[in-house]
Amino acid sequence: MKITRDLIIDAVLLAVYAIAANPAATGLLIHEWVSIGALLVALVHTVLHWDWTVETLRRFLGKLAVAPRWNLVIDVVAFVAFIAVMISGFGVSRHVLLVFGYFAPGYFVWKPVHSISAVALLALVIVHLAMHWKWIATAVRTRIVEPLGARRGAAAGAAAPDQPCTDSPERVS
Amino acid sequence: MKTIKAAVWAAVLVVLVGVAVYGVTALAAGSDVGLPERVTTASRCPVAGCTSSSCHGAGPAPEVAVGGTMVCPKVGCEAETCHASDRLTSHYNEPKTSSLNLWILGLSLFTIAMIAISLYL
Repeated sequence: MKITRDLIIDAVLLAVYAIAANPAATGLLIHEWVSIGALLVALVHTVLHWDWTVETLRRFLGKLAVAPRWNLVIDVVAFVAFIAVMISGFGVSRHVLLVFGYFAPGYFVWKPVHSISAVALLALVIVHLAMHWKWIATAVRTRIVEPLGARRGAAAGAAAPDQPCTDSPERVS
Repeated sequence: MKTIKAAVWAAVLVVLVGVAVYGVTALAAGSDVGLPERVTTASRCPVAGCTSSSCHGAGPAPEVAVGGTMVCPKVGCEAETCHASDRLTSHYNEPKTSSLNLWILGLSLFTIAMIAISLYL
């Protein structure tokens, strides 16, 4: 159940992020609001893995395997990049702030910060996905592919005729 | 209870990192960066920093009228032939890195799709 829940949250986060990461395709209005949604889903993702983060952080300076150590480093840097994207995003915001009657000074300072941190975040997300690829592949196979296959098999079995097959070897002989 | 505690800690971290990002940028940029300000009739134009009564708001900056001036966003000068006017007229609120993002995301989706297909077959 926990794996299914995590898989759903992760899929939603990836989808929302993919939309937010392409402002030229969606337009700035959608980009700004969807990005805020991405922050909220990313927070849920962080909270769901909080125990792992605290435990790995506690053991970081002691005995710890290489993979979780690198996972934590990538995750922390990605977290900082995400916040940098969001803060600089408010600095260049054209729609969200205006809805509340505000604007942020320093557009030409925030713009490069936003671009650089967004590209860094994109690279870190890809590394994050690659590092968890085994879990993703296993979760997709066991929670989506296999149940779908089993359901399809059951449906095919239910649809099969009750009469015995006449060209089976037993019947022919 | 455990989840609420984790959510509070995550929110605190977001605020702390956000303040740090804002602080570092503000320190590096100086007075150009500030907290969001309420838009009023006397507000500086968010695009060019001018206080003209015919402020063009958050839209792309218009061509500077003959004899008119606009505070250069790059160095703060008020020359008629602003050398950074292209940044105002062409780069303001224009997503620039989207093509790179599309390429990286496209390749990633392609790889994921190939692995998914190989898993399924």
